[in-house]
Amino acid sequence: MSKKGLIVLLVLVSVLLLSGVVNGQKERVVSLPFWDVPGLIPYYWQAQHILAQGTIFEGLFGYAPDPGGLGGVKVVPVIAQSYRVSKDYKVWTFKLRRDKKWSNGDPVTARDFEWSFKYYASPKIPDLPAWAGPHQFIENFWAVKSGAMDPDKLGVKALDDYTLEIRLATPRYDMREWLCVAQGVPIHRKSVEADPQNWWRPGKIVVNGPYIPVSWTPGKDMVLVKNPNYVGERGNVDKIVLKFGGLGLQQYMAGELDAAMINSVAEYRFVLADPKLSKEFHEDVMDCFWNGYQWSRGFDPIMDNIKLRQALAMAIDREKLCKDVLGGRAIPLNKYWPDRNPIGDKMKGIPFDVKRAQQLLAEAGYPGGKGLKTLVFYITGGGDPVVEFIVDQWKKNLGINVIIENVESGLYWNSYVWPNFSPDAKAGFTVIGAPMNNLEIGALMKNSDHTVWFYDFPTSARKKRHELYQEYDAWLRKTCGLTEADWKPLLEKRNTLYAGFKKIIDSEPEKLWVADLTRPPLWYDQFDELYEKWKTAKTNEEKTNYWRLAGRVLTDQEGFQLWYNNLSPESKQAYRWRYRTINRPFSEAVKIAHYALQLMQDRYYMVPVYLAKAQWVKSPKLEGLMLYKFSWGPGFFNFKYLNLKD
Amino acid sequence: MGLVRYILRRLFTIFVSIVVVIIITYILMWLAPGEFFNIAQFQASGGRVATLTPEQLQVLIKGFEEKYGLNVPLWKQILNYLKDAFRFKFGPSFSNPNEPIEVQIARRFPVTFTLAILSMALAVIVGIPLGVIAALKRNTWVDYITMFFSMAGSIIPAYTIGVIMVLIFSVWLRVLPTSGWETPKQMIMPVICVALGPMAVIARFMRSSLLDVLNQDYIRTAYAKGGTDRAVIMRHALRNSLIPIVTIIGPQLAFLFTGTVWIENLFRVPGLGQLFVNAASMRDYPLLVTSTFILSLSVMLMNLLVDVIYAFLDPRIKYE
Repeated sequence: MSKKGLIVLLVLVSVLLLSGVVNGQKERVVSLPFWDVPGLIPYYWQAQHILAQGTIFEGLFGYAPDPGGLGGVKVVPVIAQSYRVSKDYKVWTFKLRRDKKWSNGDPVTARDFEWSFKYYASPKIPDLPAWAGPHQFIENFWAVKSGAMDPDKLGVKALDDYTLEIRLATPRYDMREWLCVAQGVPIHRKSVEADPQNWWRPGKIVVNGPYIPVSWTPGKDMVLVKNPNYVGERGNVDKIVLKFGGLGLQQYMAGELDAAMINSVAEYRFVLADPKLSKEFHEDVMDCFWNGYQWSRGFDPIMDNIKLRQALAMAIDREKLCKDVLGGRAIPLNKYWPDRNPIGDKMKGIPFDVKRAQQLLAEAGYPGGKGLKTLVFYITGGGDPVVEFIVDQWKKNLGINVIIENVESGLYWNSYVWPNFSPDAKAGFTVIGAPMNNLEIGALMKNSDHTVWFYDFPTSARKKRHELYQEYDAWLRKTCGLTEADWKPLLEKRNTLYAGFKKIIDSEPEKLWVADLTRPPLWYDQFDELYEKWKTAKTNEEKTNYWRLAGRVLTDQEGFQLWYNNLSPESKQAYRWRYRTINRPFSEAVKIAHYALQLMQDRYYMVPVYLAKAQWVKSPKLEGLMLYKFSWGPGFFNFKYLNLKD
Repeated sequence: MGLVRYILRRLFTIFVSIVVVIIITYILMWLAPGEFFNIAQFQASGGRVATLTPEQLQVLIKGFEEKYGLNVPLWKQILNYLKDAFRFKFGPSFSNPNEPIEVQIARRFPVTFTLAILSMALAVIVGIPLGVIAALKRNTWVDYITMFFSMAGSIIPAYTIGVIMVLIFSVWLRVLPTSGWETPKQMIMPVICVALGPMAVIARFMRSSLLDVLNQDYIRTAYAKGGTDRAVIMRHALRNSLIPIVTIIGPQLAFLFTGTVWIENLFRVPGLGQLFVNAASMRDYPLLVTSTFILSLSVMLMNLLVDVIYAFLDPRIKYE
């Protein structure tokens, strides 16, 4: 071979080798377990909302890892560069980064946000789960959503390409936190308008996050690749394969996954006993939940007895439960937030004190459990070892009989666990896993504020409140209101309620609460306006409608006054603290949330028992895996921080 | 012509039956406690919905009912559903508003169909010979072992067998992937797991059916005429003993379309089972009605197919 030929050959070999090496290093693929994603529209409350939070979409703000923070995250600006907020926390103005791009190369601008938010609010999406996003607080949102107002009137405006103004209906101190969630992300206008039904399918979807979905099979997997137009911090992973379902640990052991959640005590023990897996094992506490029980939402006066409630809460050996029943996959929890947490550290727990519990039970009128009727613990889905343990503890420690009743799942969750009231429920309990859906100030209460709304007033008042809820709905079906005579009882009631309202306003010491109650439009102004409209209404249909709406306004106010006037002093105080908490920035709210929480916890209607641990194994080569600790968790999310070591 | 007329008559009966089934399903759904909106959103929100004002809640409920056509009287809902269903248009489901149910079914049906057909083929190919062997060697150790395994196949849940197979073949031996549905290798374990149940049923039915036929007079006559074991069994006994097997294969196949949910979850097979079982557990009513529609239709069509096959297997059967 000639010298020239040899050189050409060497160059070719080098290029081939080099390209092989480069390719080998280039394609960094990570396979992870994920929730089964049924679609990619970000605003629906489905698995994709987790994917939309920082992986395929980004909003003005997002989550970054913070091991010491609530939920293990902190809020950081992503598309927002800076912001300012008006003194009353109702007008938020954001300056956007100028370098952010969609995956097709288009710039991400304030106009994308304006259009998207108006699109989400429009009646074009009648089933938007508005409770899951920030739009519910934006000025005119509810009027726009109901179709009564044009979407253009929504309080969102791009002042220029890179300045966005959001006007709120009421002050919100946690808009930054709310803007992290999936409904806070923009979608790409041109692609949505080009194909409103299918814009979100892989191959068509235009995203602004670090990864683009390129294939998706529901029930099986989704493949994401790096977005070449993404600007911002991200790891070195080129391709992510999200696998839905399957045997996670076995997939991991077979080398098909780079991380897997541990789903049972058996798996946990197996992993700990395995020399290799035990080194790859990790765990964290799911601090955004609390797991325990709540009293049923029925109307049995037995639950009005606080000493009975307290006795039951104190008679559970939570340590034993976590060790023997939950196999070490949970920590005992006797307060809504755990220890070593900015809120939990300031709270006092419910002690495990059988003697004190027995004494309280006797003081409640049931010494040794005698004279107390059999209570019912509602569960769903077959056996529940935690409930069996609790029931056994109550029997053993207090002599109380509780039977376990299995209820169909849909009925259980929607008629026993989460509704305001359950008229059919017998005296007893349901389990409750109260979660935070996302970081927001109200959610710091982790649903324990249901104590204030639905529990802590006498049974007779609870029952009346339930009847008023029903009456409120019934007004829509009433057929009357055509004559002045129909208005007479309403006008009388209006005046009585007005007197009651004035009394509340004048006596309530918490200014924030008063400010909220007196914020226009006031209920009596609404009533008077409806009455005036009725007078000039032309058709019978219109007349009936105004009369109905006026009746609803009064029923709503009557419900409020009944609630306010019957609420226990402790819960009223808790509500005042709740007001103080939600009326300050998130970081400040965290510092005082314990006051309201403690007061509500000490009513013993909603009782914490344990906190689950998230446990997983992961390849030592994989870094930057973020645990999702909110209500869909545990799982992994926000994959932009993933790094694969060579 | 007789057969064609018979099929047309049966198709009409199927149509009427489906209408009745859907009406009953709708009424049951309507009678079940709980509002549709609450069912779909209360649990999902984790109590968040309770923080909305009544007016706000009304806006959401109105929008929700509008999306799912629940804002009209029940009779109209049923009529609208039936009108669309017979054109295979089912609208969106509560649990997946992203795309209509028919798109979800169209994507998943081929997977389930393949899984069901492959599994049933395996069940037939293995189950029939097993039943024949057990019948021919009745009350011997061969019979006992065959029946023991067929009994085990029907009582051990396919899910358990699946987990054991994954441990052996994927984790320890690493010869098969743990899951997936793209390559033939990925299909081996799910197909075997799904086939085990029907295989056991077929083997037991085949055994008893063949034993029954072997005791018939015409078999004795065949032997008396000098027929060998092989000739008598293959020519006379087997064909007639297959009739009860055909009866059970039809409905078994129909139920495989929806009854493979555990295997689908375990092996990440993106089939219909997951979709339909989730419908029931999550009270996803649009999907629940549709799964009733599809399952009823499948069972009825399979039964029709079985009846038609009878005519080919047994010349005595004539359809008027």
